[in-house]
Amino acid sequence: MIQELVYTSVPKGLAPDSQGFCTVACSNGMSPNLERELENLSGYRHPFLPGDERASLNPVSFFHLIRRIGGADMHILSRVGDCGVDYSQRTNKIGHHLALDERQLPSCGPASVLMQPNLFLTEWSGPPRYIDQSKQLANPTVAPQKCTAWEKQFGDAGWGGVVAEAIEAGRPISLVFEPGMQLLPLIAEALALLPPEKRWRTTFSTFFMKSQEPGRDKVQIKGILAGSEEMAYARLTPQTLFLDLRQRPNETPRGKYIELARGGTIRSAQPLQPTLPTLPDAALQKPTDHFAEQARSGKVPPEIPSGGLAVPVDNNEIFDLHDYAMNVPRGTQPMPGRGSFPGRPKKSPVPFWLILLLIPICIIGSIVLAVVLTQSRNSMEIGDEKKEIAQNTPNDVPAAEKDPADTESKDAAKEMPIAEAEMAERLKQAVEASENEERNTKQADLLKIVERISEFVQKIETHVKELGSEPPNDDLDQNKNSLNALKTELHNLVQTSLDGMSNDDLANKKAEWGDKLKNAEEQLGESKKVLNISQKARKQSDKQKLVLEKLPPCWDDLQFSQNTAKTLKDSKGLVEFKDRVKLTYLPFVKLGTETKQSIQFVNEGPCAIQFYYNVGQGFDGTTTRTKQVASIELKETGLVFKWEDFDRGSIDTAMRRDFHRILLAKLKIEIKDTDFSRAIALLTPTVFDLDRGGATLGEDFTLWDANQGTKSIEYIVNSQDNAYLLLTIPETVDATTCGFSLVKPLCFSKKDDSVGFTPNIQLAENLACHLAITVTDSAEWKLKAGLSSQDIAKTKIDIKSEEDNRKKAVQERNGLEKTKKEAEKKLQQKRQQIKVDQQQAKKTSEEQIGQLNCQIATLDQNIKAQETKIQQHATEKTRLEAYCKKEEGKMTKTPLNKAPFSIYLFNPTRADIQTGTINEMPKDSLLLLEVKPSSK
Amino acid sequence: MSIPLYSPRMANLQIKQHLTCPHCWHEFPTDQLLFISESPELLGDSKLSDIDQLRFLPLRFDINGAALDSHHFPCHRLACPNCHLQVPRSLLHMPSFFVSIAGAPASGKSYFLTSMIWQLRKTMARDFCMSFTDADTSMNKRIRDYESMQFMGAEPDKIVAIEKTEAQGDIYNVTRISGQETSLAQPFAFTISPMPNSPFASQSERISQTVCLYDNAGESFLPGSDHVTQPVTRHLATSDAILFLFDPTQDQRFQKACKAPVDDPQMNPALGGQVRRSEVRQETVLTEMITRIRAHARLSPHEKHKAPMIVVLTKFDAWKQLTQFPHYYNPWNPVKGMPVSAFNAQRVEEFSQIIRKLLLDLIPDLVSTAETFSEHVTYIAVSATGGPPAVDPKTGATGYRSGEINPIWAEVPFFHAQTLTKKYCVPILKTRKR
Repeated sequence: MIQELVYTSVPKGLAPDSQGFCTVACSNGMSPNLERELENLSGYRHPFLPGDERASLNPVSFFHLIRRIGGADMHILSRVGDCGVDYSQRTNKIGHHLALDERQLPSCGPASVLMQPNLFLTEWSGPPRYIDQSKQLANPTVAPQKCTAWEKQFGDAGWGGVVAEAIEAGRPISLVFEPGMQLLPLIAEALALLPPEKRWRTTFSTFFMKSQEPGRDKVQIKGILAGSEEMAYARLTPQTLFLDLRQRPNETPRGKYIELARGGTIRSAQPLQPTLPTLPDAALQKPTDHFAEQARSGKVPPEIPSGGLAVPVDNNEIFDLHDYAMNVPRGTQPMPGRGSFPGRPKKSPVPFWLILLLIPICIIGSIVLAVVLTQSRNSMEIGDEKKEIAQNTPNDVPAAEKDPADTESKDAAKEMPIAEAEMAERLKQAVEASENEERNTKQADLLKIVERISEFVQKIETHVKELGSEPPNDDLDQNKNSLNALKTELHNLVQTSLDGMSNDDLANKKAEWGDKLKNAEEQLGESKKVLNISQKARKQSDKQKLVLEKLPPCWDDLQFSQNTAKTLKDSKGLVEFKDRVKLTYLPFVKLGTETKQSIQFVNEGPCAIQFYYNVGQGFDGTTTRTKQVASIELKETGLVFKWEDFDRGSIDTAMRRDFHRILLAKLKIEIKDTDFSRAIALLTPTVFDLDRGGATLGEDFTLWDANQGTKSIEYIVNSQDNAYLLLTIPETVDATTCGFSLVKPLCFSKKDDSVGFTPNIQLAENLACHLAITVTDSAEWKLKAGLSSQDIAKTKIDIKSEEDNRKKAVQERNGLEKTKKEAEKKLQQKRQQIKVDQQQAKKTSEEQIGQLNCQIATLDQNIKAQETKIQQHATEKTRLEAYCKKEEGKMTKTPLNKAPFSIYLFNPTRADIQTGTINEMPKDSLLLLEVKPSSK
Repeated sequence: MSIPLYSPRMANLQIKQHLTCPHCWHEFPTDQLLFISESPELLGDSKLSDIDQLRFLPLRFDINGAALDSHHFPCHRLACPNCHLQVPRSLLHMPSFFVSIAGAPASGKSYFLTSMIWQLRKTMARDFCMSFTDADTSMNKRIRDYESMQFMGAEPDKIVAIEKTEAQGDIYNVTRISGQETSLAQPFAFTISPMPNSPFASQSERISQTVCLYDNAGESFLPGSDHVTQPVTRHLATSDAILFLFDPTQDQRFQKACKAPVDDPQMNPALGGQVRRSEVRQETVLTEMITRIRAHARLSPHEKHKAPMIVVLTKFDAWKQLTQFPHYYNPWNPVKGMPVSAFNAQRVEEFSQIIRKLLLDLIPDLVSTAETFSEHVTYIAVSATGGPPAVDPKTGATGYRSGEINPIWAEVPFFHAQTLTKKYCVPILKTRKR
């Protein structure tokens, strides 16, 4: 049963509680899958809305699609078109679908069925209902005929053939039309040119909408409305046949179907009968539906046409193009059964690669066959001649060579002297001919050798040239000389004239020259081997030279440190490497403060640096044990960084982390794996769970981050893509996270020799989108890196224990930091107090000193005054003493009561008196009293 | 020697860790985002059609930061890893705000959405110093066409009408999810960000939003239309707010209540129009919508939905005589000393109470159904066109003259939804408690 479904906008649909766009009629027992598929195909876009003058030009979408529903291919023939306004006065459409399985396909083809009048409803009224009766489709005979519609459209009916050829070739076809154009007759004419089974494998839509082609279900012929959004897709698919129906093409196509489309005759005695059902233009414009007409007039409720249009299928009338083309009388050609359609262009049963393989085999085989045939023909010709000679021989052989048994013939020869002479002459000629033949053969063989030799001489010349291009080398020079000698020798051989040589000479020469050629070939082969070795060595040295040219200027320092380990501190901190594209900065940072834990590098070879880490003192206490931790190799593609696995216990974890960090942050790393995430995951150990806030990475780091100070910024570089990833870690570190989860992408920059880094937001976005840097579980990283499950399990355990340790360490560190900060605060406060005290004390002492100084000054002044007084007293004393002495002399003359006098008083202590120790009066204990007589 | 590493501007770059696809509502880590190839030869995608560009997880990027497809073409467009449909780039940086618009057929969803967007573009810039722009012009093509037709018609007197939203066809994206061809609704995506003159311009990162709106055909909300191959209404379960459009002109109780002759052809056949009587009651549509949300959001029957529901009563101009609301002017007030206004949610709530009372009188089951479902239900009356439709005397077509369209409160439900979800991007007027 052909299944039907009608879909439009009504106040109440077939399904309960459905209204608006919904199914109003469908075949009884239709599967829900098919129903939903047909509903989905009912989409329509109104180029012109109701009320628009051009609303009548809204194109109708006739389409034939193939959908696989319920495991079977269903051919869907539909008409979806504008339907005025609905009950809510808004745009409406109507979709009427027929679903046919493979057994129900009429041979006339889908376009012919779609063109049948009154097949589809153009309007709906009445209540929704189920359809019980199956529609019967007419199957008119469709034969190739002149494509009149195409001729009308393009002025050349051959374009119908162009479309037919494209259909047969499986090419997509885009027909661009404008409102008012009818595509269905064009498609029908083109399909009519094809065999019936191909007609039903051709999907098409006269008004293509993107929703008709979901997923992999293709529409081969797309009618695309000019100016619609589908125009963008019209040419997208490769090999698309793009025909713009609005303008006539200038080309004149040619081809099998094109001729058929033009004339409608191919080597046929019978003229073609145009049997394609022709419809009036009005019918194509808007197919009339008498049921709808009745419904409109209100006479009879419209019903689904059921079997009314049935036309008996006459298999005898089914036209087969191939029969026609071969002028075979029409016969009964039953429709192929289910599944017998070739479908989309079938692949050749013979694989393409096999054909490719067979072609050279055939060519080689034919050549071999030709050679064999030629030789056999020659041998046959020679054989024939020999036979001929042999046939003649009984008569021609000279008597001397004859057997004794031939004495009778001798006698006969005597009897016939004239005939014998002739015979002898002929025999002689035959022998000469045979000898000439043999000589020619030998000469030809020899000439072949000569040709080979002359070719070989050219080879030697080219080889000698190659040798000459190489740098001077003893072996090569020797080979060159010997080959030159060989060349001249062979050249002489080639110049040797073969004329006059006997057959034996020719045979000898052939053997001799062959041997010489063989020896020469061996010699050339050996020389080539030597040359290859030399070339390889030269390339190697060139490469090394190239690498050495690229090396930084300070490479000499590194070379110098080949044998003596040199600390990074001595390498001036920054080493520049040049590669082909750009500069790469390789800052070396001394790690740690203790001298025994410093990274050293040893240069091994011209283009590799190996990092060694001093892991402690040797057993003897003097030597230093080192362990290789990383190596950097300069390759043509850039620097290659390799991280060597080493024992964690042997190196301080913090140092290792620092080393990791600096390597990851500072080195240019060539990421071999193109998967960026994986590469970063591989290069990202769990070292980023560091406290980055207080990280002091030295001046180098500041140098690289001049704008941001020592805030921790890392970057990873992918040299293959010239993409530079800058990553940062937030200032506050969450102790529960680890790895790159701490890292927030900030920007990604390109590096330019002149400009430096340029910020790039978009790259940041893109990489951030791509990189799984938000993953908080480092085990997931490992998982992404493609590690085995055991590794992951190990990693998980490690991570767990490490995380616990880390948490503890972080807690301890936080506690220590707190106490440290508190202590620092206290210390600072004390210092400030001391400072204040000192200042105050200084102030007070200074004031005191000032006062004291003032006092001292006054005292000094007093002292000076006293001293002056003392001096005055002393002078007075001396004067008085002098005066006294002078007066003493006078005293005897002067009466006592008139003369001044001095009284010395002595006051002895009681003890002195008691002891009676006073022997004499001390001078200083005397008190001098001057007594002057008054004037009275 | 110092090498400038990046500008301080870079430090503000924030990328969301997880995204929700606006097409299929699949939540995924940002690093799984796919890129859409640009090479013309890279046609055909495993989940889309052969004429769609290939989607790929990029492995390589060019020096300018664009992802490179296998033909080394720089690619910029992003796609969801689940449905392979294009995702607006603004979703990477800005928080998203999903709003679903639901309602029965012909309840005026498309008109309301068009007017709302038009008004938001205007109001946001004029009163709130915020820009409301298309996040992806290709995604919003349909709504822009509607806006052009409705508000920017070349002939103001020409009657125009928005076509009926289809339940199938080109407005839906067909993709392959779990091996099944699936039709997904096309979202409309917009970005809201402060303008330079906004006092909140410095807080752009916090305030900016990506708004995704969905316009479904009313048929998609009818019972039985929810299908695994057409999950076109499943955005309801993940939306931040639901706007349920109720058309009183289709309800007989409202029609009876409007005793006086109404100047609307949709309610008065004497004016040449056709009175709409829906065969399916709009409460049924609401019930069906609630059933779907409960199923997809995994809510128990007693659990209330967290997202606020705003019952938008459309075509207010036709039945406004039923309400006596004194303050029917814009619910936002200018802020003193600032160039912006503040949204007055209190006024909307007051009006909501009046509408609720009316609905309780006329359609009590609608109120009970809505309030049983959502924690916060608000009733807002709007008019997308501000007046009744006109009938073309020549063709008989019903439509609106673009020069006469003057929406009433079309943008208010959006502002109020933002206020209720506390995802507002405009200042909110604080109510003083007495």
